[in-house]
Amino acid sequence: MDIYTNVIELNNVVKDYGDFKLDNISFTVPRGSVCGFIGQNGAGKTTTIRLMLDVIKADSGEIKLFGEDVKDNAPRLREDIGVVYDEMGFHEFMSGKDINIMMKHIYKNWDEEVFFDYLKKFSLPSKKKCGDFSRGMRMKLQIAVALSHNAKLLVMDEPTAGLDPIVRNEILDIFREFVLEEDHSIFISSHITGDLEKIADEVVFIDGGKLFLQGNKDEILERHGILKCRKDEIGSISKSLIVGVQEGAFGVDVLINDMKAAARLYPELVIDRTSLEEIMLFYVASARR
Amino acid sequence: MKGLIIKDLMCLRKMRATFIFVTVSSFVITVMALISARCGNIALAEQEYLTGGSDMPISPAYILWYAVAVMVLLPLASIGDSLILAFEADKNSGFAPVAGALPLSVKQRITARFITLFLTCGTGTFISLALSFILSLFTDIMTFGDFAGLVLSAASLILIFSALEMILIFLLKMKNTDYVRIISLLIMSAVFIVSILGRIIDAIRAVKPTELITDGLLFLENRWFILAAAAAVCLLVSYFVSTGIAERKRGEI
Repeated sequence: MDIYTNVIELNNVVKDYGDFKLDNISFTVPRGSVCGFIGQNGAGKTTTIRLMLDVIKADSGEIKLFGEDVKDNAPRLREDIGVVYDEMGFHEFMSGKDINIMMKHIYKNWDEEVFFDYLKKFSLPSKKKCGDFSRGMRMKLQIAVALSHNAKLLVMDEPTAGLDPIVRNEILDIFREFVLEEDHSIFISSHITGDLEKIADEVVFIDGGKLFLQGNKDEILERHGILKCRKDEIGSISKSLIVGVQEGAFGVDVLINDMKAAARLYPELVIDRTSLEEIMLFYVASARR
Repeated sequence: MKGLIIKDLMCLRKMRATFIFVTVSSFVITVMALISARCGNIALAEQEYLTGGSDMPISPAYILWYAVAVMVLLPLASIGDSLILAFEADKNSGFAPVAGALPLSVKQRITARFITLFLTCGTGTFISLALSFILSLFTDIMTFGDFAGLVLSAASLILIFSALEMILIFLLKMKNTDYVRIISLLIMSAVFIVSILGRIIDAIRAVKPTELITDGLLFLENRWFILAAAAAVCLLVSYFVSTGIAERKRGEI
């Protein structure tokens, strides 16, 4: 099971709900990397995660985790996966101690010492009902659970949504610590691109059930840029470079997909670095046009 | 799997408190009634009835028998809803996604729920049998065998009820647990009425409804194994239908 290069591998995965379709999704997450799964609400992030975990069945396509097909192997493979959702999911009457009792009888590799260490580290009272926890505490509790059974892969669905910046940073630090181990990987879905910019190595963009961009985060950020020009100058820019255009009060912002080529072709125009958020916004807007 | 059973039992904490309260109350009331039937007001009323000094249409000892039967059935009835309560607790907390991420198969998750049902029902039955044994020492109205028959019949009915609920939840994907409860009860009542329709008509024609109750109680006391067999069949069907559907559709478990 340890001989694999991609911790997650999706090939031509289709899931059709009628009113929403996850259309021919293919991407890989290299072992030991942090992959950000970016998309707005309703883009298909949660559906993809549910398919990966074999909670729902794909209509077609192949899903591999740790190099193994999830079909028929999912329960065993989930031993090595820690999952964090945007909502806690544990019963509100349960305390940390109760959750420990439950989980140690579910996960073969559950380490209660590690779990209580995390509770202490996160300042979570082990005897207090988790229903009385704040949103940040609930998220930390989920992370403590996800990290206490020697998981090799963390799958997280909007873990930082609705959290204040301080707690978000704390949580990102925990993730950074987790991936220090060579074979630990993280797949994190979020629409808060700022967080992903801080920790992701790879990014996958999704919108309307379709992937529109994927690859190494730094390469994507280096490749894309915002070209600033006047409205009448757009016509002179090569169409193959343009991803999207946004008109502003003082001119036009153009997202280009090859910053070096654009700089070479149009040395007189200003090209700024861009962010994942801008990339997402431009691609989504251009797809809808 | 054991972890899910533990979690389900934790979810039933409130029900456990209700069970203890109902059991203790009904036990105390029954003991008091049985003592009264030996040397109290009920004994006096029975004596009066036998000597013809009372205008009661039915013997007080008979009424006591009905009452004791109800009291014996009450504690078990209080745990009859355990399955739905566990489902409701999961639904309210949004546990389904968490359960889906656990290293357990769909079949294991359903099996866990059935085991919780057996544990709850089994514990309730065991406690009721123990109390029935104590009660049987206080009275000649019912033997321990009669009490045990009643308890086992009640346990079987609970299992049939729960098996129906399970099928309704998975087959019809019913989310509203109140509907599940009501439809299960309606199905059981309909089967009961249809199976003894002739007797009901006879009892109504003869204007002797108490005979119907007496026959019913005698059936529960002495023919519990018929209900137990029906419960076993219902549970088997329910288990295979539920796992089959859940495996195929990946519903809420």
